Amino acid sequence: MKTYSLSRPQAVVNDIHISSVEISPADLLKEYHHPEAGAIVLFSGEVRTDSKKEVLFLDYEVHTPLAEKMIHEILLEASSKWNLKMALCIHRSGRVDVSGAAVVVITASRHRKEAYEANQYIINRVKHEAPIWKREYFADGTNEWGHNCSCSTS
Amino acid sequence: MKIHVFAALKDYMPTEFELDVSTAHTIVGVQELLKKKFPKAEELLSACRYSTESEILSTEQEITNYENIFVIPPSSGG
Repeated sequence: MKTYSLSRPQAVVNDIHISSVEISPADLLKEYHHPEAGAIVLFSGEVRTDSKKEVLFLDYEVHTPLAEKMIHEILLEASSKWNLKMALCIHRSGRVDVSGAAVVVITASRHRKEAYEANQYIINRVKHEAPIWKREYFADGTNEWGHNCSCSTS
Repeated sequence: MKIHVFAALKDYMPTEFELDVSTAHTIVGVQELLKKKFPKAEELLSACRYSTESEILSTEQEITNYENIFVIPPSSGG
């Protein structure tokens, strides 16, 4: 378990947000605790097989330097808005098989309301704004780019 | 200027290529040049954002100092 200074005024935010290797939500949850946090919320976005055709795996392409910066800013903004003690987001690049974690968000706050709300806010913004794209590979041998979100292009 | 593209844009153009932008002054101008060069990607290019290595650019942004521009289709992460 990590230890944190109780006098630290800002939330603890993780530094690396894009991973080319497998993410273990259980390992992250084991590591991320905070003595002033009574609520820890973990969201794991996982690859599912039932798209319009059977999916075998996804392959994520990332504009990494920009994605790193945007996700970090989203975490800092959420931390400030909900007074979080900790915020983490890690998104995969490369191949992710069915039931593998494509993205994990952890939020920690004094009480659960803030951790839940901030977690949803973070994943919504990351999905809509971060420059990350998935290519779906199907059981019938075909593949295609995932459907785009309805985000603003301004 | 070197143009870098991602995801579905790669179905229409190379991942990276040189573009003569001497007639374009802003990002919108670059977008128009790309639409002319790759007319089949016109609709997708209209939905794209543009960035440097680490910063989103306004469409009105002047482009004189940029060596690399990244063209970003709508995201589909998560």
